Amino acid sequence: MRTSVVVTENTTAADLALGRSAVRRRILVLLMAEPERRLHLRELQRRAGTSPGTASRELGRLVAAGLVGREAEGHQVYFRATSSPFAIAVRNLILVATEPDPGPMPLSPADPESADLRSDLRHLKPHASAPEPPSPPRVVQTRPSELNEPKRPDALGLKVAESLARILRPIYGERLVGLYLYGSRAHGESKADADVEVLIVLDAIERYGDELERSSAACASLSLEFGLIVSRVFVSGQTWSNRTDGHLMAIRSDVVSV
Amino acid sequence: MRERATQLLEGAERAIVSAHRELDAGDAETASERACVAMLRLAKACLDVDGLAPGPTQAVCAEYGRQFGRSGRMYSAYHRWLLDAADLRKASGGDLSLVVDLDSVATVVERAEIFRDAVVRFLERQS
Repeated sequence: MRTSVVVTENTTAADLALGRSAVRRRILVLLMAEPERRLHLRELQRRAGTSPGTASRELGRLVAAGLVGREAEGHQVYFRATSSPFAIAVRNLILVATEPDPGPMPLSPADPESADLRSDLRHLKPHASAPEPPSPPRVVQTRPSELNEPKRPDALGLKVAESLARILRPIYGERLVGLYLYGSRAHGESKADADVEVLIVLDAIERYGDELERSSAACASLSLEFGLIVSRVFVSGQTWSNRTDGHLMAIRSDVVSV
Repeated sequence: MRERATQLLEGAERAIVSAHRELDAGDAETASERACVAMLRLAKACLDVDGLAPGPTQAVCAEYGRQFGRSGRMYSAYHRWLLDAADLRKASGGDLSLVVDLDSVATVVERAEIFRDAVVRFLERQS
């Protein structure tokens, strides 16, 4: 049986490139962020915050699509982003799609990276060509397994993160750039006792321990009140915007702003 | 003192010594990892009094919070120190590798030593 999906202007580039599986997206972000590096299944599974079975299944799909290569070495199996034109184009899409504020696509003629992107995008017809005049929604044939609904954040995780935000806003004032729920509770795949993982973006961080201290009582109190662990990570606005290594990119692609 | 608690205290002491060594070497990531391990072993030693033996970090922190966070059996700040140590380790090590200053790690090591002394006194009162 074949099923149709309507692609509208609300469909993000990442959706087009990766489908709507959050796990597949996180795995691909991890591999694409460091294309020269190969990663073991276990590491990918752990860093993507999913089970070995799900990681293996999604990797199989990515390998079949030619985006990821599989390398066996003894009893170990490693995965690495391929260097096919399609993989390069998808990587460029991911880099754009995971920026906090994507802005316009960098297609300036003077920019050599833009020239590469244009070159790579030519292989992606008809999905990613230059801007076209408005047209009726296109219909893409896809498998039912790709029809995963977008994951919703876990209600308890969101509630705890909002409580933390309410406490921290008066403490940090304008220094607080953003507060995000991330990890398994952000994409609704958490166990009942999973940590509530919060990422706090500040204008700048001089001494990490000072930020831990400022938020310490709030996190401990909420942990006791809700009977779970509230875990927080601080990053500066500059790190949040500019760093493109695997884990932070994976987090950035899957956060819920509180 | 129970045998397991004694072993955990010894393990915590080794981790503190190791954390100091890494601090001296300027390795914030490893020092914060050792300091966190020390705090976790001390928390486990406290939980052992109640016959509890949680394994993973999150389970230790959660159980310690339940048993000691508000009970008055131990100074309540130790619970948040434990959570802070776990979060510092998470930030500085593993996948995130955020830049964490040595001074912040030194604070966690000092706290581990204060916590160790308190746990020793607590366990002696129990025996």
